[in-house]
Amino acid sequence: MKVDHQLLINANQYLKDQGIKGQIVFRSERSHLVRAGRNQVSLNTSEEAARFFVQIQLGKKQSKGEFVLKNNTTEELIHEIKELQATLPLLPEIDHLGDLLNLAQGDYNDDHSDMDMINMDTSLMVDVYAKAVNKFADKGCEVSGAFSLGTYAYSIINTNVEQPISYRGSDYNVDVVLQLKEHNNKEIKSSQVGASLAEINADAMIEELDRHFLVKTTTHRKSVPIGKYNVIFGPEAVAEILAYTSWVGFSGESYLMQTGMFKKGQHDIGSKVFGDNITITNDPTSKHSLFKRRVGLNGILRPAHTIINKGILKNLIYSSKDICDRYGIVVDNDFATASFELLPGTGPATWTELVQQTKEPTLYINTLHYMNFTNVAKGEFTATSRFGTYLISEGKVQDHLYNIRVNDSFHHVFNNVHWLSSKITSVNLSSTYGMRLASSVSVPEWIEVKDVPITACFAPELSENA
Amino acid sequence: MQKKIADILDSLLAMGASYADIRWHQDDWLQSLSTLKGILHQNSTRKRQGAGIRVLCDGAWGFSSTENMNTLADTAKAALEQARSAAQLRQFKIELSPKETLISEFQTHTLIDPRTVSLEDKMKRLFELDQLLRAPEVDLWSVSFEFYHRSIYYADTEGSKIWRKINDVAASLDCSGIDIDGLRQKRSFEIYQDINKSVGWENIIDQDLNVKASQLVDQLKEILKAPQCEQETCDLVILNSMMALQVHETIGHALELDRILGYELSYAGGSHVNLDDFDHKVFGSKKLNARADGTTPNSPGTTGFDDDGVPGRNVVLIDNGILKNALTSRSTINEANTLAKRKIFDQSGGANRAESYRHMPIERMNNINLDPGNDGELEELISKVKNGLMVESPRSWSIGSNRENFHFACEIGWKIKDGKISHIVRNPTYGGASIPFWNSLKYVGDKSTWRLEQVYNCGKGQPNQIMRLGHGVPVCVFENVQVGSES
Repeated sequence: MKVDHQLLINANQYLKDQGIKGQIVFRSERSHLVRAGRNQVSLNTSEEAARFFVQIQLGKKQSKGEFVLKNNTTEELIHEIKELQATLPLLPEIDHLGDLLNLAQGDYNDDHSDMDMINMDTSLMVDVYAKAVNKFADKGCEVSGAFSLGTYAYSIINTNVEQPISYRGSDYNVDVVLQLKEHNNKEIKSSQVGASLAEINADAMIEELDRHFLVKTTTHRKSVPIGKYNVIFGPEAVAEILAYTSWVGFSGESYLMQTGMFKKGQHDIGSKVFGDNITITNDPTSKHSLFKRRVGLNGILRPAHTIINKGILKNLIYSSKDICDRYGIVVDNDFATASFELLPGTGPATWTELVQQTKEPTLYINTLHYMNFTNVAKGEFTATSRFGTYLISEGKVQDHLYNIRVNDSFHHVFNNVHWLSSKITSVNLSSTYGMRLASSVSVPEWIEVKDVPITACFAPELSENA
Repeated sequence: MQKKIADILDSLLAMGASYADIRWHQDDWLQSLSTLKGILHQNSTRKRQGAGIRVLCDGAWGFSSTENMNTLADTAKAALEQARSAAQLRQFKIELSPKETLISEFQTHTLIDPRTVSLEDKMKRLFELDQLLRAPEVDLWSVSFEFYHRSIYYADTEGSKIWRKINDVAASLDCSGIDIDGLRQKRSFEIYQDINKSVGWENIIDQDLNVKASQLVDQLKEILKAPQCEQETCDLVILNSMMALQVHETIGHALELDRILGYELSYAGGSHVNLDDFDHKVFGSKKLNARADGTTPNSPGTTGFDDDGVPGRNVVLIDNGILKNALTSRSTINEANTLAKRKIFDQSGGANRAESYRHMPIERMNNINLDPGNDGELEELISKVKNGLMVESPRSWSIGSNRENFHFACEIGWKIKDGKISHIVRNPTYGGASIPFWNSLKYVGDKSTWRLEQVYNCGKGQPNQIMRLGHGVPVCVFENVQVGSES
């Protein structure tokens, strides 16, 4: 799991001796994942992996490789580098190819890992589902979900520097889903994300599930006509909207190539793109940031970035070396380890407050399922509601609804936010297996958006006759 | 290594396992090459090796993987412990359905192995195609090749030993430009396979790719100045790559048995199909005949055997519109039959597949194919449409959590009036509810319209697994479909 830094230094020295520029990244992980379905554990897995990612440059030629080595020795790594070297004469020149990135050097080697996660007894993970089964199985529910936790590390060196820079972290994320078999298979969900075992709070998840269970078993289920509604989005839905907006909006490369939602001449830096109440940052120093990595996976320092300040576009993230080289832009951050945060407002901080203050008919959507872009150039997306869709009015949850389809645009959403909750929460976005890398976004617990187009309702009678 | 694997399997039985298997990826090699705007964009090679060990103990599964073959015995013990831990919360004891014990092998039919082709030749072909995508209207274009080889040894405690050498070849062409409203439009193409040919470098040097590149550019030029697709209810002619998506999302995923049972609920979702539906449910019109065919030649979904060691089978899923079967594995059919209180499934469909050695196999599509029909060639199908739209190339897809409905956007559409193509339209979308949609299937194209599409990005499961598979599909015509533009 732990790489010998001397191995990286030796291989880096080999590149220097050969007169080749290059960068070597070592990544490793150990992950556990327990999956539940139908009130039992259906899968209990563990994985360990260790890989080297090598990029070499000679003049204007470049070659890249990813390797699993049998014994992680200097000789094996240099052997693979030599094979890459041999391909260089066969490759065309890349005119725009720039120098290697300037890696962070100095006291930036961080270890935030919870070592208890490495060789832990997975019974602890199984217990979370056992608690849910004990609480809900005799209420006619089937418990399912996934619980992933693990540790990961990365170390980076290149021929511009002498020493590698490294990071080691850990994370967990857990979902518990109930399917209410005796209530027409309705679904509810609770999720948590964190960095250490001590943060896991199964009781809080059970409590949240209980709250939704009560709503779904004491209110009527209805369909709603298609049309525009004011919608309160729950944290998972807000996180999904923010994450998708970041991919098509905040990527500097998308802006340079005009493949995203911000148009040159219309959405330039300094222009007003969103409503006054929208401020979005990418700030590893924020107190809300869950995984505080000072150095990105590309080895460069991650400064605090304000992306949107009171609706004005302030910065984009330039993270892809190849695209930045093409356009003569300097890589200034790392998208893979971004810590996006939608700053909170003054809206309700508790569910009770939220319900009590909602007088006009308003929809509540907990989660947006299977979001996809229908037209990236216009920032348009579609998704369906899941795990809780309610109609709230007159200070009360009046009904719970069949799942509905939303067709909207990120421009419309972020220009029509009525309020943002004053409470902030973290939502998991991690890649948790196959080379673990923890990631989350921080968002207000709820936001209300005006006039969201609802284009379909999935009541069975509507589906059969559609 | 094979001796070591056999010893470890024996030791797992001795330690209390009722079953175990090991998949050793001796060689897991991937080469990715691409251009972007006439310049080399990607040139990378990935070399991996590793093993995944699956253990059944006390009626529950445990799985562990490693990339360090020196620690294989420890990995096996970890998998056994995972199974024991999982058994602490078990309601239904897993009992594997029987299979034949086999000592066998499989190899992709390849004429020219891409690993034997020089990098120079690969670069030459890459840039030859790149050149064909250039035009004043095109401001972004790219060509991508991907060559994937796996050498896998599988062994289990029942005595099966299977060697597989699998090659996949993917190539895509993309071009895009800015339309009359200042918004980006794109045309793309991914190579498909021919069941009568082979999988290898020969797919890349096929001159049809040159023709396709020119067609894409011509179509893009038309799209850039085309009118928006109008919102209306009309007949819909769906060409092959969109048909592959339609089948994939609303038949394939809906009929995965683990989804139907509820094991995918927390992430991918469930299914509108339940166990009572088999042999009864009218899934579509009588023109609909679908199968999960693990034997379709030259498809990335055909790997000889699934990761239960079950040989590829050709399973009828939907027969003249009636639901008959599902995508099944050895692990789930006993549970499904018990829950249904009748024998719906008599044997595994051979659809238990894992993305790699790092993953536990789960029910996955192999090749979900539609049989060709008798309603003629493409021209004949178009001639039958009075007012309709023809669509091709997925741009976006979003599907309800129980696969009960869908919303798709396409790269290109052609308006059809009085049996003839009238003009190209921009931003076509369509959507509907799955069962009514398949019941609106009006015409199914003949063999000349049937094509084996490759899919390389099917995501499912926790941990998420990206699977390679195929869809052999004809061109189909549906009636009374809601179409529109963008949202």
